[in-house]
Amino acid sequence: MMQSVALNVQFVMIALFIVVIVRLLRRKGLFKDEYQGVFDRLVTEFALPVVIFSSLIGATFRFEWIAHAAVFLLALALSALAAYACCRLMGLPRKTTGAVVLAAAFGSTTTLAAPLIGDLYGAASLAAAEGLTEGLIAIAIPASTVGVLIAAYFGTDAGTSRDDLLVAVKKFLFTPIFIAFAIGFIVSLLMSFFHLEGAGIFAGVFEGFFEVIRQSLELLVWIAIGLMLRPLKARTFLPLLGIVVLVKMVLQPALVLAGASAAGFPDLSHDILLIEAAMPSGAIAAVIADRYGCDGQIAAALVIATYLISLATFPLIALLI
Amino acid sequence: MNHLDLFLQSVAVFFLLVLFIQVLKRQGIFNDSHQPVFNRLITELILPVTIFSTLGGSTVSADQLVGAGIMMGAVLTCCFCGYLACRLLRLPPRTTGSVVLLSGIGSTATMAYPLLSQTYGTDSPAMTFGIMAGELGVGVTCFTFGVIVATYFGSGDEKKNLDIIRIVTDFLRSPIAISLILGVVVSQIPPLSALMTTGFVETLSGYFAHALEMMVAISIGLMLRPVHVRLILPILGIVVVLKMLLQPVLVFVGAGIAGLPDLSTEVLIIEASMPSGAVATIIANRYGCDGAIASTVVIATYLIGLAVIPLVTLLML
Repeated sequence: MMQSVALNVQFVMIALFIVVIVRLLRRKGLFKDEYQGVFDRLVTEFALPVVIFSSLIGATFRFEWIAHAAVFLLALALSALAAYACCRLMGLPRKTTGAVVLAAAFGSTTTLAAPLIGDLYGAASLAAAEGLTEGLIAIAIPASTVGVLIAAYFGTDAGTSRDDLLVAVKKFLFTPIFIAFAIGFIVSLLMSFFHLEGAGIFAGVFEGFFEVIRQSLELLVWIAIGLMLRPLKARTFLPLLGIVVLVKMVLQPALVLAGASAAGFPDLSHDILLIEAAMPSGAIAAVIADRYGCDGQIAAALVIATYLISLATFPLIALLI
Repeated sequence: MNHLDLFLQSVAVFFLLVLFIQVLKRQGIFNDSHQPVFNRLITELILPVTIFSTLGGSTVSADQLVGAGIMMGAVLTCCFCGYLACRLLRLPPRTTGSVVLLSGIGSTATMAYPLLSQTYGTDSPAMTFGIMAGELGVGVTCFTFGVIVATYFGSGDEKKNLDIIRIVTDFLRSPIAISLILGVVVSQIPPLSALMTTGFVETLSGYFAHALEMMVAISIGLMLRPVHVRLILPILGIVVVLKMLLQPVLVFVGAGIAGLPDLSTEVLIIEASMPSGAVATIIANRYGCDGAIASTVVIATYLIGLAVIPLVTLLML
């Protein structure tokens, strides 16, 4: 257990270290504000679709895991609604609301939860596979689809009409990258199924390609966060942080636990869902927020602050599992 | 999996990355103005961290130093021959800078290490020897001599007014040079060197090392431009002959003279026969040399490597 707490500290420190280096390079003039958009695009338009796609190919799907993910999704939707209600009560601007809703709903599943679950139960264990699948269905895919739509909705001054949203979804799903991957995947499956010559090399190429991008995503996301950060007034920021911490790190785990108990999930699944729900706000969600026009500065600051707070909350969670 | 399959796979992954960046560029998601961002990210952040973490945690044996010396000698000889060829062809300074770098510096980390790991095993003595010979012989040459050459030729016609001392001073202040020096210093202080193998440093440096390959492919993808065949063919001819044919012969002769064991000689030949270095292309472009030609040549040598590497390994191993 102590090892997992130490691992959590290590991941938080690494994230902070990269952010600090990027800030220093920015001060020295080596990185400029206009670079921010490039990293946002690289994450949302290139790395994230590839990572989601490759995770889907490699994931194991079981009926009970999909049921667990459904409970988590419900908790996630309720968290988003609760955060939205708080923002409305406080009369926050649209762009800030978008950033708060995303940070309050989506957690750090691939960055933190997956390695922590792997460490606790073994990287090759069934629990790790369950954690990956549930994180993918309940957090990663919703963040890169519904999350994009939420960010696009709040990121525009006047809001977005239903037709605009449909166009955005269509555009998102029919990009050349998605089409190319779909073709590549089908060809790969066909070659493997019919045992065609060169199937191994073909599959190896795609695996290598996915691996390179998957392993680059972490660094890209933290560079983007580092460039996004700006000084914020404590008076403005602290209430927002309060909402996000209460909703993301207290309400969401409570909802997930209540749902899991009501549905009679086994203890192991309880623990996995609890770890996933108790994670700090997702760094990728902050990049999505910035990319689609929401307040990236606030989103980035919320991510960093919840990461720091997780240093205190994760040991408490570790005591519960 | 044999040498060719693995090499084919590495080349295909690289091409796929470059291709997707070209597609995104055509879609307008990336444009030419983004290219310096990636060049800077590589030369000011990712490379320095990777160099520091690799050197800081390593201990060097006499055998590895000899191997690195042979490799460095072969790299510098090929670079010099590349320079002479450019003078004969009267190529402009910026093109000369790119050709000089690509004639000597190869894709050691991107292509050679996976091949060596697959052939001899990840934790094998051959792999350790290959990494040290590659890092000290090719990497250090690229990050010191390579940066200075790129700065010199990259200043184009203004280079007559350039002060070589200023170039060297600027280089010594660069993140790459600082990380090189710090890495060597840390490697010589056992308590600090031991810190480099902790989980924190290994995970952190892993992030940067893994991102390097993708960033280099993105940068090359953005750098690529249509180049006249008549212009590129002689340049490609020079680079292929020097980098992929002369360099393996030079290390073979050097290893023979130094009396290195057969296994070490094999490792050096594999490293020397690799295509031109993608990182060298980034350095060339970053410091003002001709990036369009450099990126085209790298892509071409990767393709030519599919024929040349099996030939070299067949003849010399």
